[in-house]
Amino acid sequence: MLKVKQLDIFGRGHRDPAPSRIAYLLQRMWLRKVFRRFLFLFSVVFISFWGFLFLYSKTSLLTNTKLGLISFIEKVTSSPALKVTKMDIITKDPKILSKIESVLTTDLPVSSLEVDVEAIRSKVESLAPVNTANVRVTSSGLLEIEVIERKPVVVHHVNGRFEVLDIEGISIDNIKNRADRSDLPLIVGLGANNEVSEALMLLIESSDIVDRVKCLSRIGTRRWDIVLDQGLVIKLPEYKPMTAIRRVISLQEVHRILDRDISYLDFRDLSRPMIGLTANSAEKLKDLRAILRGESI
Amino acid sequence: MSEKLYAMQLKLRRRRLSAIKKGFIGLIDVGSSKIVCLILKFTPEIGNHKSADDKVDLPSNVAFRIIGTATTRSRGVVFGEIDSMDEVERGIRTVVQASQKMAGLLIEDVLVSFSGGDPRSYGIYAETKIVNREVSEFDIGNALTNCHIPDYGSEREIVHALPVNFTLDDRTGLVDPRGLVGSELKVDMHMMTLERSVVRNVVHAIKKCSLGLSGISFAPYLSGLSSLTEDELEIGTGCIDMGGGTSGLAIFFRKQLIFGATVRLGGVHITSDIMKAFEIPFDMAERIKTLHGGLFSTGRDDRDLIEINDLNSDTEKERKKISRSELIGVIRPRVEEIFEELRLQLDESGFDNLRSRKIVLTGGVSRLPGLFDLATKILDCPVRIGKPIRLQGLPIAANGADFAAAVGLALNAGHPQDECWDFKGSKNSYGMRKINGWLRWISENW
Repeated sequence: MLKVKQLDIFGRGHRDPAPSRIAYLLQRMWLRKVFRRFLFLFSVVFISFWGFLFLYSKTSLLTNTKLGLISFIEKVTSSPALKVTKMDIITKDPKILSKIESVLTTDLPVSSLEVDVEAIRSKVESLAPVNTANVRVTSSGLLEIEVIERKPVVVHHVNGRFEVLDIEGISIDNIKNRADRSDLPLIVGLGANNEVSEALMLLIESSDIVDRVKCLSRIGTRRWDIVLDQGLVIKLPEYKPMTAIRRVISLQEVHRILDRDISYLDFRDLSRPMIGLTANSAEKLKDLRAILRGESI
Repeated sequence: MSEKLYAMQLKLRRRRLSAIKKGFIGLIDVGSSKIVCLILKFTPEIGNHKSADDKVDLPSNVAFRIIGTATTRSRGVVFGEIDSMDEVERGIRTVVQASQKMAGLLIEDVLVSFSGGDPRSYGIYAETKIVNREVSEFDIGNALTNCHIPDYGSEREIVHALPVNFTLDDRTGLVDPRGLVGSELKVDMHMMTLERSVVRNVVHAIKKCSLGLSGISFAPYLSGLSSLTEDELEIGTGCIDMGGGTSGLAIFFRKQLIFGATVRLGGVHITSDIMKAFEIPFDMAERIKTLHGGLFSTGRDDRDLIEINDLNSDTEKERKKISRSELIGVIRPRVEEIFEELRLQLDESGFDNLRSRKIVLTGGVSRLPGLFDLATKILDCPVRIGKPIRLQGLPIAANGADFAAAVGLALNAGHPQDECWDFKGSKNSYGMRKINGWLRWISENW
């Protein structure tokens, strides 16, 4: 049958509202849930399969991406704005300065992205004379290490060595001679380094006689002896050594006891302090007692 | 009742049941002036009327809802019969696609109604002895098997075979004799046949649209179901479905169809009369008919001038004006002719013997003003203009008298009346049928 195309007044073909057979069948197929699900699954599998295949077939694409990424990182790290050119160590002690410089092996200039500030800090703080350290990279390309040193407070003599300790009893330095640090008090004996702060407290309390103190001696890692000049020893108890020292000081103030001819003051038992006489004074005491008894010498 | 006799109907019935189980079904009314497609969704009944096993497998007593509607102008259908397969196929495709889009789901099974095919009604009488005192479905089936089927011609197909009346011993007028006790059962059945070629063409058109046909119905019967009230169905009423190509007649009594016929005249003929009389295009004639048409002219109608703007004539001179009385003068003889033809059919059916002789007019032509008076005069009985009942989900635009057949199709799908093939068959083939049924179930569900 011949078909004559009908034209409307605008010259367009007459539009049939009926869907074509193909469109009708496709729409019916689309309305099937099974078909839609299948199509979805199929498309997902299809796309992912060919996508993977494409990526793996193009090895140059992968390597190019990798190389591009590396060069990009390089470009960023090598930019002058991020360069660390100088290291500034803020410290008063030139010894520490040289020590830190020997410890830090960072080669300058280096990118600020590659500077591990935390590692540097822990490295510096691991040095004996350093208490804490602040490490920062400034915007002007400066690696600033601010060092707070340990403060030397006592000289500890043990096993024939002289060690300078801070208040926590940590060894800062070794010295060969006591005279090198004659400004610091001397503590002696095993375990004395663990009680540095107590030793200092005792020294502060005995400030009246401090110029006579030769050293503080730790006895049996348990208690302190204060050794004065001329071999006079004040034996302090294990517990409440401060009370004992205060009593010694008051005895000194009232009776000038330390100026007398004694060999030791034993305060190990606070309820029963003892005085140790020298041989000379013991002899004298004997004579005096004889006189008191009316004996002639 | 031999299986061979209703082979097609039994096949369609199985399809229909499986479609109802699926939950939705498409309804297509192939008319001479328009093709309608509705999509029906069965919803589990709300309330306490649920079946015991809580399934929607009962064909009756289910609630439904229209979820898709589409209509298109029909081309290629003349006198309710398919004239041009290509055009009808396009029309069906259009409505099916549009309604599928509206419903958002695929329809696979459709019920179809049309009004052509020279329907013929037969009254059939059958009787049987009751086997077990109590009337069972089996007894009814047995009676229907034994009934004498008249020779309705080899080129015809049975579309409806409805048991109308049951008589148990000497008690008649039973609607459902199941469970009653008696010794002899007599059945009156109404059978309707259509021309086989017409039916086959409709089946083929549906098949070409890759849809599964699950039922064929006679359109005036469905219009009656949707437009008649329950009382009218009971007391005996004729329904005249005045469609585009045909005017169908269906007579109901005791809620059953007892007669069906068509007159091969309809609204399209009125339009073509107007077209010829005033020498105007068909579309314009249709428009004038619907806007200004009438059946009784008054003095005023001589002065009411209708301007006929012909797009093809571009000069002022060619503009025509016709008076409304002229238009009425063209329309009225044709409508009178239709009613006279219907009158003949009514006389033939023995409609006058019914106690209540009431006629309900429906279909597109029933919207013509003055039809009521003319029908009363010519048919000589009380007349009412009917409109189909409201269906849930159906747009108001698709609820007019011209959609009566489509609405009836929905009602019939939701609450089907027992056709004779709905009853179980005779004794000797019972076991075989059961096995066949199992095999069928397996093939349908796997």
